[in-house]
Amino acid sequence: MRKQRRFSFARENTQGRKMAKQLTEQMEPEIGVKIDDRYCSRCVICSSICPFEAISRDKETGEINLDIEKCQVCGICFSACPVSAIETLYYNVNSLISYVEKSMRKTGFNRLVLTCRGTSPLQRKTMDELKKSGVVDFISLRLPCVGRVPPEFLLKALALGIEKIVVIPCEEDYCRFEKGSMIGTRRFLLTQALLSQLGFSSDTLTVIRSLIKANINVYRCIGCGDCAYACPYDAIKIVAPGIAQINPDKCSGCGLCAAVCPVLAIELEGFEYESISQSISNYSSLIPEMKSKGKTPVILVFCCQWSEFPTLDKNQSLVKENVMLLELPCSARVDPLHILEAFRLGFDGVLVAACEKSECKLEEGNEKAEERISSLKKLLAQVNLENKLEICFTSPKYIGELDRHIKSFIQKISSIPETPHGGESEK
Amino acid sequence: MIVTKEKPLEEILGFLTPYKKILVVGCDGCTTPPRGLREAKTYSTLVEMSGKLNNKNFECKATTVAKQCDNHDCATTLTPQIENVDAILSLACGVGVQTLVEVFPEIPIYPGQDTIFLGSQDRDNANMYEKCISCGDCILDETGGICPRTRCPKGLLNGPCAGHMDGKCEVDREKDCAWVLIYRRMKDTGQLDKFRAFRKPRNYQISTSPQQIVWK
Repeated sequence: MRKQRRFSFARENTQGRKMAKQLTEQMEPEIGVKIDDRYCSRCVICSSICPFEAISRDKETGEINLDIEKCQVCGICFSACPVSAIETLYYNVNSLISYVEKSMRKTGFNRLVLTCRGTSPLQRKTMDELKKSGVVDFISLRLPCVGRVPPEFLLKALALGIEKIVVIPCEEDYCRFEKGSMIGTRRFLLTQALLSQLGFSSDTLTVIRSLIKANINVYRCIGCGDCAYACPYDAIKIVAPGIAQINPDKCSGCGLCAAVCPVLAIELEGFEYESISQSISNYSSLIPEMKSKGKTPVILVFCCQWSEFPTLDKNQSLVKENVMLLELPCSARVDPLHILEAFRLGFDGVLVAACEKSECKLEEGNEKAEERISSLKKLLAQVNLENKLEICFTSPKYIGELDRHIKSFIQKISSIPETPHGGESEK
Repeated sequence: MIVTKEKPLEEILGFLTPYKKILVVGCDGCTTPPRGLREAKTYSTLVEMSGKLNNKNFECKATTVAKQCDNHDCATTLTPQIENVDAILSLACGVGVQTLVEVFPEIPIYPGQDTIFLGSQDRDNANMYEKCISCGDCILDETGGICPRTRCPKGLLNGPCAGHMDGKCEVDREKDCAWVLIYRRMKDTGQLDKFRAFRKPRNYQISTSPQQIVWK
C-alpha cells in the first residue's frame, strides 16, 4: 500500500492540522500534488489528460515531471493515475472516505451528494431535481472539481453503506478546469455501468448538471450598460432602452456584473447581495467577543473559491479566531459595498484573496477585482482606511499560502493604530 | 449625459455635521457615472464611518429615485421615506438637488456631487468628455457635427485660430483643436464649401438664464 497522507480535510483531523501548521512554517512551500517516481509506471496517462499541459515525460530518462508553475491542482491526474503514483494533499481517497464515514455516523444519512464548487451553493432547480429523486437528507461533499474523484472512492463509499450517490458537476463547457467535468462525468458513467453489472440498481449513481448563473431584475435595471461593458463573456446585451438581458448560455457565473451594477439589479445565484451582507453581519457579531479576548485585529477575508482548497471545505464555520473567511465564486464578485459594510461593522481589516495573475478560472476576474480595490482605496483614504484593505494573489498549489498572506496582513495592520471607524453605535 | 464628480467627504461632512438622520438619495437617471443605489449605499456607509471617526453618530439611509429632476417622481418615491429625516444628501446633478428643494421645502437638502458638464463617455479610456454647453442655438449642422462652442476654448465660430499646432489646441496642447477636427470631418464628407462659409456671431439673447419652455 502506498503511504496515504491524511490532510486537514475532516474537521476532527487534528493530526492533519498539526501537519498543515508545520508545513506553513517551513521555508519552502509544500506543493499540493506530487508524482512519486517509485510507483510511476510511466504510462503517460496523466500527461495526456492534464488540461494545463503541466505534466511531461522526459525524453531521455522517461521520467514523468510535473511543472508546478503550470499546474492548477485540479487533481484530474490524481484520479486518472492507474497505479496511484500521484499524491495529492487535498481530497485524497482516505480523507474523503473518513469524511463520509464521520458524517454518516453523525447524521445517519446514507445519501451522498458530490458537488463541484462551480455548481454550489445548489440552485433551486437542482434542489428540486434532488427532491424529485428522493434525495432530501444527504451528506454534502463539496470539491473544487468532480474530475478529481477516482472511482475507487465511489466504490468505497458504497461499501460503507451509502445507498445513493448524486454527482453535480458543472456543465461541460463551463468547467473551471477545462476538462474536469467531462472526464469526471465519463468516469461516473463507466462506474455506473460497472455498478449495474455488479447488481446495483441504475439510480445508485446519478449525474445532474448545473451551474450558477447571474440573473437580472429588469424592473430595477436602468440600462446604463456597465454590466454589458464589463462582462468578460459577452453574455449581456442592452436589448431595449433601460433593459439589459443576460444570455444564460454565455454566462459563466463569475458575478462581475453583480459587483459593478450601480443599482444592484443583478444577483448571482447563491451569492446574492443580501445573503453576503447577512454573512458579514453574522460574522461581525463575533467581533466584540474576539476583542474582549484580546484577539485583535479582527479581519475579514473575501476568498475566491479557486484560490484556496481545503480551508473552504471544512464544512464548519470559516471562523478561525480573529480571521473570518467569506467565500465567493470568483474575486470578480467582490463587491466594494460589502467591503465598506465590513469596515462599518467594525472589522479592522479586509483582505481579498484572488487567484494568481494568470490563473483566474474565470476570465481575468482577479484583475478586475484589483482595479476595483484600488479605486475603492481612494475612497477609503478619505476615512484613513486605505491601508487596511489589501488584495493578495494566492494559489492552492502551495500549501498554506493563504495562511501566510493572512499572517503578513495581520502583521501589517497591527502596526497601524486602530481607528473607531465602525462597530455598534450607541443609540 | 450629465457628468458629475464626487465632493470630498470632508466637505460633505462639513455641511452634514448639525444633523443626525440623513437620507442619501441617488439618481437612476442620466448622472454619470451612475449614482444609483450602489453609490447611495457607498456614501451612506462612508458618511457613517467618518462620523464615527469624528465622534459623531450619523444614521444614514440609502435610497434612489428613477429621475431626481422629476418632481412627481421624487414626491411619490421619497415621501414615504422622509419621516424623521433631518437632512437629505442628494447624489444627483444640480438639477436634482433643486428639484428636491422644491418638493421638500421643509427639509435641508445638500449636494453630494459637483455637476461638471454634459458629456460623452469613453469606456475604454474611462474618460468623460464635454461635448455640449446647451447654448440653445445648435450649429452642428454647419460644423460637421462637432461643436466649436464647446470644444474650442475660445468658442470661435470661424476657426481655427493661428494658435493650433499639429492639430492640437494652443490653450491645452493635450487637446485636439476643434476646428481642425471640423475641417477634417468636412473634408471627409465633401462639405468644404460649408466650412468656408462665414458664420454669423451667436445670438446670446436666446440663451439668457434662466430659461423656460412650455412642455405641453
